[in-house]
Amino acid sequence: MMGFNGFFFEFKFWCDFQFFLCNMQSYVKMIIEMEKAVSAENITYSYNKKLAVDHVSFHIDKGEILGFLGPNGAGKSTTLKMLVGLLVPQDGKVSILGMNTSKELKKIQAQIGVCFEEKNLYEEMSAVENLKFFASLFGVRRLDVVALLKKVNLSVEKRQKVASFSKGMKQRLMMARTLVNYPKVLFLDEPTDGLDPVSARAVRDVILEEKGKGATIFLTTHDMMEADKLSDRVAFINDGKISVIDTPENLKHEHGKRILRICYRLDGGVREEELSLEDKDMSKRIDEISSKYSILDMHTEEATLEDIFIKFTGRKLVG
Amino acid sequence: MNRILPIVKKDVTQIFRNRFIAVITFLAIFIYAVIFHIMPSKVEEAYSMGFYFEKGREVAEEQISKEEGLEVVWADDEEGLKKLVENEDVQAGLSFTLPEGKPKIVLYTSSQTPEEIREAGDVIAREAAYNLSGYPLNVEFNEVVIGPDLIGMQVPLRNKMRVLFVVVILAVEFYALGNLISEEIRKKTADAILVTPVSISEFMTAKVATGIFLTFFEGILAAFLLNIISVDTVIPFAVLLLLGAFLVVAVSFVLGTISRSFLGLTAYGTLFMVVFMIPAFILIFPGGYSFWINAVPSYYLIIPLDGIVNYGYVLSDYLPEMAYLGSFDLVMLLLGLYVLRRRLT
Repeated sequence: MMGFNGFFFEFKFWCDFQFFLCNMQSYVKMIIEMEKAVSAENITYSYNKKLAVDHVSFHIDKGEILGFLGPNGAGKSTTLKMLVGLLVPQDGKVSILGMNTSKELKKIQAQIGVCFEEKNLYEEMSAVENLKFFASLFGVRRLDVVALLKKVNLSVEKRQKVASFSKGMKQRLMMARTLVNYPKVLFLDEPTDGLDPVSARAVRDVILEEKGKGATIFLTTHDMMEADKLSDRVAFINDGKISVIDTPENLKHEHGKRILRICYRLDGGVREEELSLEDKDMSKRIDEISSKYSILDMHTEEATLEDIFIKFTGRKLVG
Repeated sequence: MNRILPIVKKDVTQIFRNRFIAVITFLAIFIYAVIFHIMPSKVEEAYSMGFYFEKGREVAEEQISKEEGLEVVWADDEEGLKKLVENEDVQAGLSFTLPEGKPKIVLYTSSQTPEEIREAGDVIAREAAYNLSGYPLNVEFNEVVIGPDLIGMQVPLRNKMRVLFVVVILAVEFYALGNLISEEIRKKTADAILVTPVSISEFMTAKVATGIFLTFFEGILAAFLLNIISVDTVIPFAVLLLLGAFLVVAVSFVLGTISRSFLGLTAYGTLFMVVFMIPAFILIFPGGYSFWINAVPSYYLIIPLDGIVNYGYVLSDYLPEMAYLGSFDLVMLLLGLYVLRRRLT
């Protein structure tokens, strides 16, 4: 009769154990993958030998907003086009909701919403006609168009031709169009670019509302404040490569300089001095200034995402 | 199919909401119908000719009356004959005089008289002269018609022109469909569609369906207004129209893809339109035929259309033409689909 030790050293045991380990590994991998709504691995694309996106990898967890920041020509739109299936990556792969874009693109596209930077609406048609048309392409028959237009403050203009809309109204309609199929993942390309504050706020409200419902959002923007306010994580892209990807708080904490700015009167004029909050001698210096001079203003300043972007890429985001 | 139909509906709406396209399409059909109905519906087959005979008018009258299709007007003197020609009361005038006892025949034609009428007058004058002089040519004359004998089947100009009108109406679709495709690309609305479950193939199929539907619908409408449709012609006309519609769609795909603006589309479209219509002008001005016209695909649409609509031929009379047109449609459509797919991806 074979004892426990005997079985332990048996070949069959090791085979079963190895099989179990392999299954566990793939099971764990599957669970991790299931948590990722969007996953890009080494995606690459070049236009006429000019590399636009160079082996970029990142993922977006379910329910997360990823801000994708970069100057013009950095590769943001090309990345977005690869994610939504308008361009086929020349290398690497994209998975959305656990499906590979090269194999199940149409299934993926049924569950995503894309808001383009260009106002690509049918201008000769009304807002309602535009929404109904796109809903029909998704096979959505019972779309509450009125509620959707109300969400973007366009219910009054619903029968007007889009050609008569302002830029802000068009953008709000674009946002409404993005939602006609109740998407699980949203891809928004510069959704508030060039909008008046009211329209920009309306768009931001929709983004946050969708996030509240559990949607995953890929957001490209020039607006650092917007990215900071809306994004759970941000990625900086420059010359087709991602320089860094992290939460705005972490980036500012790890790479930004927190300072104390003091303005005081000196020899009839005003002098301004910056003190690092991390500096141990800071309080000593404040005491020194307050004892000798009259302090006019004193406030702390946090590093902005813009500062960190410049630190990483050596470029400004706009211009 | 459930994704193609909404695109077709949207495309048709979009085309007719473009005022320029809607106006040029329907205005063209309406204007051509009006032109057709105000043009003469009969062919003037008789040739009117003035005669002046210095002597022997009685004998001449007897001889000339034997000439078929000749409408004779007699002048009292040579000046009177010239006046008849000058006033275009007759198409030509023939004077027969005997100065110094030697017969002299002069054919008068107006400076406005077309070449073919002058030639006809010349022939009639010679024939009449031979008859009158009593010395007919000592030859045996036989007439053999190679191909369909069209004598007695003269077609009024307006009937010839309606083939041209139908072709123009088809060609106008170059702009309508070309503009539709061009706008989808330029304004990136195609991108918005292609990130939905609609595939490129479905998108292109919808465009083909829109083009065929519109071209066919407008062609049939024009045919009704131009009295083309009858029990005998409805099916052959529809078949030819369908082949023509495929040609228009194929060309429009290429036009829409290569045009970067409406101006570009107009320029390219006009070029294609002129080439497309040249064979139709040959029906009206047969003298302008050149061998290279055989290379224009629309020739193989226009010739059968003319035969079926104006001369009562049937489709089986034009099988080689239809085969050529069908082949060209296929090649052109594949080319159009290829360039559009390339542009979209």
